[in-house]
Amino acid sequence: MRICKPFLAAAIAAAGLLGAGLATTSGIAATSETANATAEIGKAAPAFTLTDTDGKTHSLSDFKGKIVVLEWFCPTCPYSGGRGKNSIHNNGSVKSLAKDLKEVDPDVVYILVDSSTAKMRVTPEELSKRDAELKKKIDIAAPILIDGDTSVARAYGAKTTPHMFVIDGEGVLRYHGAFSDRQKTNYVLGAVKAIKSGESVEPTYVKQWGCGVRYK
Amino acid sequence: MPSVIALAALAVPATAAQGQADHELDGEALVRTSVVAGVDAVGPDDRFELAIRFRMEPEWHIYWRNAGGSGMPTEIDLTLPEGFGRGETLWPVPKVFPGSEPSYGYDGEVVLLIPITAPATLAGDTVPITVDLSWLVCRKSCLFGAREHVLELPVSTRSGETPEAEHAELISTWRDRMPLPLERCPEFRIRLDGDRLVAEGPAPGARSVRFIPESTPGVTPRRLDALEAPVVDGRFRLVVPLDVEPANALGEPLRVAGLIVPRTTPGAKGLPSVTFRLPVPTGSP
Repeated sequence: MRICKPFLAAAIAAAGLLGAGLATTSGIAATSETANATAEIGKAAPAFTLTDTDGKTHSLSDFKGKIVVLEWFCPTCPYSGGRGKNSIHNNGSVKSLAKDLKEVDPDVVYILVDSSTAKMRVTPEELSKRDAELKKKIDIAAPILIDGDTSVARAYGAKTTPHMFVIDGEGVLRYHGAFSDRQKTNYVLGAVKAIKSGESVEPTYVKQWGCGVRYK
Repeated sequence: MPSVIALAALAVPATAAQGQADHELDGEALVRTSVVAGVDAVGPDDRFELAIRFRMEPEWHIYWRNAGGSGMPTEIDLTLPEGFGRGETLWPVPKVFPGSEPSYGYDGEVVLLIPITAPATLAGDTVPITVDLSWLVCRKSCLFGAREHVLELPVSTRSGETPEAEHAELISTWRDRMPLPLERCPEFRIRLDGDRLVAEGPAPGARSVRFIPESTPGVTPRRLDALEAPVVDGRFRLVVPLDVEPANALGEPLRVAGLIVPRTTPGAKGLPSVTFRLPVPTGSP
């Protein structure tokens, strides 16, 4: 039984061209998909208490009344703390965002969470030491919290580094997903602006990109 | 007849780096790439394909146009002379890397095809085509890689030149692995039923059928880890509940798209995979 008509060379070219409208530059880019995260938009963000690379303890409840931005981080991922121009910590993207965020809301809290113990096969202590060195080396201002057993990544459904979460002053998750469209639009900045001005956040989710987060 | 000039960038295999941590390897050395054309010279109004070949070191993979839960789509930027047109890149069915939100990509080897059209009038002696490739290659860790290829295809005064045998075979082999547009498979029915995607059709010899979703802003399968249906009496019926959130559409039309892929038992005759794209009415469900 023949289920489909096979593709001929001429047909493939014609179909492809019809679909693309004769675009002359590359076109397929990462865009969006859904959540499937445990943390849900419009609901209380999962509570956590984690220790940063300086040994200081941070709980989500410490920041009640403030907007909190969580960025999942990995010191070796080329889109996160790794080397090269694609790293948001190396190419100025995070510094630029931090500056923009402070203009919108001087009290915004920006935190990195590193759940890379399973992925990098290191102990929480080794990861903390490594992150502390990197923090100094590439001048990361935000605290880096070590999620040694990856339970916070699991609770949030953090999938990638960077995977971003924006939590409002009431502790409600208002945005999660991509850091940016990798061009001009930073979704975190958009979400914080909307929260500050009392508007609804749109989009609430854009498909995350980056290196995978591995759970224990 | 001048022969095609195809530049193949061959990288040094990364396996020499015994004992090195993954993140200390070179993302460019882990993926060998080459670009060839399906013609040995370009004539007026010619239609041909570019084949972009990726060969990964064992255990490493790159990503499909929807990377899935993590990863980054492999990117191809073409610079063509004025008047030339390109079609959508054709991607073979990707492998599914399991997870609560699976990733989609390729290990081993993959060839992507890009249809090209030449204008009615060709200027100069050669057609320069620049292909910029970039990828994220992952095993436990991920590494970024990028490479530029430049093709200089001779200009011919005649249309429809004979493809060079070696490249024609490569292109033909991989063209046969491409999913077919739904329009070419009239026995398949793929439709929306409220907020559910329903796909039905014949799949004789397959044990199950899987949906591999495109990345469609604002429209997402509710359960990304449950996109498979069994084949019973040679037919399948796959029902995928969707989350439709117009606020997350990023200004794009709401749609659902992807591949319907039969999973055959070893030794069974291959069945076609189907690619489709359906608009999702605003206000749905």
